[in-house]
Amino acid sequence: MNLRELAVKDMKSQNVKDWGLPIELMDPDGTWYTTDNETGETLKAVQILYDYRKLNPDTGEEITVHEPIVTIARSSLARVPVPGEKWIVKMPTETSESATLETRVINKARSIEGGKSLGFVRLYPGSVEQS
Amino acid sequence: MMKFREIKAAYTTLLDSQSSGNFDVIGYQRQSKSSNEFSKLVTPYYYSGDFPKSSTGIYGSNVEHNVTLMVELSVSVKAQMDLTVINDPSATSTERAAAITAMQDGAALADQALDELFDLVFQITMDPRNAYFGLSGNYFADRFIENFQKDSPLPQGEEVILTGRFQLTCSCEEELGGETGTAGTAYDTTVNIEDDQGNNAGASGTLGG
Repeated sequence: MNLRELAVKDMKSQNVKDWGLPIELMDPDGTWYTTDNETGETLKAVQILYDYRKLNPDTGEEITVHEPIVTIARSSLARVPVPGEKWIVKMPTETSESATLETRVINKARSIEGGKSLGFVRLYPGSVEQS
Repeated sequence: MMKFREIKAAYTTLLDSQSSGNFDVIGYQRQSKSSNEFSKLVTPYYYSGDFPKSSTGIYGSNVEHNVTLMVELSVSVKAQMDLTVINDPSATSTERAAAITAMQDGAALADQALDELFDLVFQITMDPRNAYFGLSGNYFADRFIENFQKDSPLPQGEEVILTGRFQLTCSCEEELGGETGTAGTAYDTTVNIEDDQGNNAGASGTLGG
């Protein structure tokens, strides 16, 4: 295994161990993913961030937004989300493995990012309400 | 108080009273606001004024004032879908797939929401019955919405945030109140003849017949 492959492997293993929180994903076909495709253990995100950001829209006024970011190792997923697809993400909104998972959505409003350089995909879950 | 302040206050009150719960109104610019504390927000404020130079303005008691109010519209929208299917453990993958396919994109809903908000505000503002925003007639004239501009959705955030704005113009005459005078020293001008020994004041007579 060369250094690049080792970096991808370590990115997942070290971060899941120190920062990982459980998540559940549902793909556009209605299939739930709750276990890690590589290890068979509970599916965990490499990192979940819950920061607030301040933005300056065209009016010049600042709007504070809550922006959760979910980073997942590609090797953890049997199917990797691609831009344009609609997915459901159930994620904890507290930094605890025992926190209740809340439903968020991935859709075209905010595209998926992340790449294969270190083998991860970055999701920007959006709020959803009952229609 | 100058009239532009009363015009702005009256317009804010008008929007608030006729919103019917469809949107919130804030009559001033805030330093910042949180995306999850509002869904539809209207923010009118005095933006600029133009004072054409004239002799009556320089030497007289009235100054013409072309008022511009800026009205900012903001919506904060979530995606919508049938969550009961997603949260139902007995739902099939086909049912879940149908629910997720039917999900309404937050950006599309935000675009629609801002159009609806502008529609509501425009109708209230330009209604002929509201020509003077509830103030007495001839208070100001020619209120008009000259343009509307929609911004791009904010690139970040759990909710989709979309903003827009329009300028509302009107014209009025600002009255100059002048300076209030200071009362001078009062003097008693009553004539008080205390002693008329020489009968100099004379006696009242009777007109002859």
